Amino acid sequence: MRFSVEVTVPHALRWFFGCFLVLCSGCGISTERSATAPAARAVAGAPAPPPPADAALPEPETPAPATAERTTVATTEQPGLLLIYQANVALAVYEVDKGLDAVEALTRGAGGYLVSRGGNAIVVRVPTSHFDGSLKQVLALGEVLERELHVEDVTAKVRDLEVRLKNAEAVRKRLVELLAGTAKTADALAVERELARVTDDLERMKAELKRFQELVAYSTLTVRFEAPHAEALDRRFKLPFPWLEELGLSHLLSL
Amino acid sequence: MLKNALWISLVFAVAPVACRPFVPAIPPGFVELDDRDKSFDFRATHPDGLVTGVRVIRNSQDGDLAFWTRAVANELRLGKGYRLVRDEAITNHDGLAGRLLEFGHDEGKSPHTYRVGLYIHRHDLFVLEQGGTRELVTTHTKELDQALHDFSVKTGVPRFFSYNGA
Repeated sequence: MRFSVEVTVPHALRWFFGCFLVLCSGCGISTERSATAPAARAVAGAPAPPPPADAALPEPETPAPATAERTTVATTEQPGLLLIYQANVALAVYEVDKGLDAVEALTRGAGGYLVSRGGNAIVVRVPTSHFDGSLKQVLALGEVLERELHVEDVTAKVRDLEVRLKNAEAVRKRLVELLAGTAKTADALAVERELARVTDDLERMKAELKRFQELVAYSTLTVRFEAPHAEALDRRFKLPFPWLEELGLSHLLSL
Repeated sequence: MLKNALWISLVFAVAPVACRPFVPAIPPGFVELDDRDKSFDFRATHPDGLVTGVRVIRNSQDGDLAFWTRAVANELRLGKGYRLVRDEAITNHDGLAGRLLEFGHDEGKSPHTYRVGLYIHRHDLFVLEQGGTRELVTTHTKELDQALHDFSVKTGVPRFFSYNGA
């Protein structure tokens, strides 16, 4: 015996299923697109990319080795992106001078240079390609009390500056040509005035561009050293012997 | 009557020293302080600012040397931010085993050294403290080590005075 079932699907229902399938596949495509969207935006250089995972570093209690693991900064160059990295770190150490020396040494080792050193603070600049490694090394020097990381995307500013520079150079070239062909003194003076202004703008823009390039190429690291504060240290447990609290130099040396 | 009163006063004046359950070793160049700070059972100072002190703690909990060593190290490292730079076994000249902990700490911008020697005898914990600038401690390390070694515990002294009130 053979059974056959013939189902007649109305035309409107077939049309509905067809649309449903198209919509489903459409959703798939859009999901894929949204996953790749940040990369596309980054290459386009439009909005700044999301800051690295540790841009806001609010856990001073975490011991140094663990935090060093978490301080990886995405300094890998992304095509077309111009980023300025800046880190401020406060560390608790014994022997501040040794800490300052260590920062200076690791900076030189990374091909960087010293910006300033005074009191218990030091400011250094390291090549951006070495920023990650240098920051990790610095964080391992003591107990981390404070950490801040700023990343500024200057891609748009630099591109704008480059366009304005190119335009100004073109204007300057035309003014020089114009000056060569000017017969009247008054006209020549007016062109010269304009030429001076454009040249001035040009120099200023070149200097600014150079500054940006330098800031992108070298990241700034500001490190401040302090003697450890009791309240900043990891103290979860306290023994019930009051005399323990009286131990220490301040009590012994106060005569 | 007056004579008796004088005798009683004298007895009370010397009693704390006489009943001290230890004999401190005063390093050369140090003088003992007539201390107003009663948290110390003994304190002596060098004119340049190096100070040594002894506290006697009633160890009614019978904590052993390992326990108190750890407790002191934790208090100073985690509670006060000191850095432990040395931890070693010591013995006094009677052969009593103890422990020496040496810590580094910046007081202002100046690196200082703080040493804590621990001895346990019966129910007493003897805490010997030595501290000053790192330079000064380094210069006098030999004398300070000697003072830790020469420290001796009196046996059979009844305890009338106990700093921690236990």
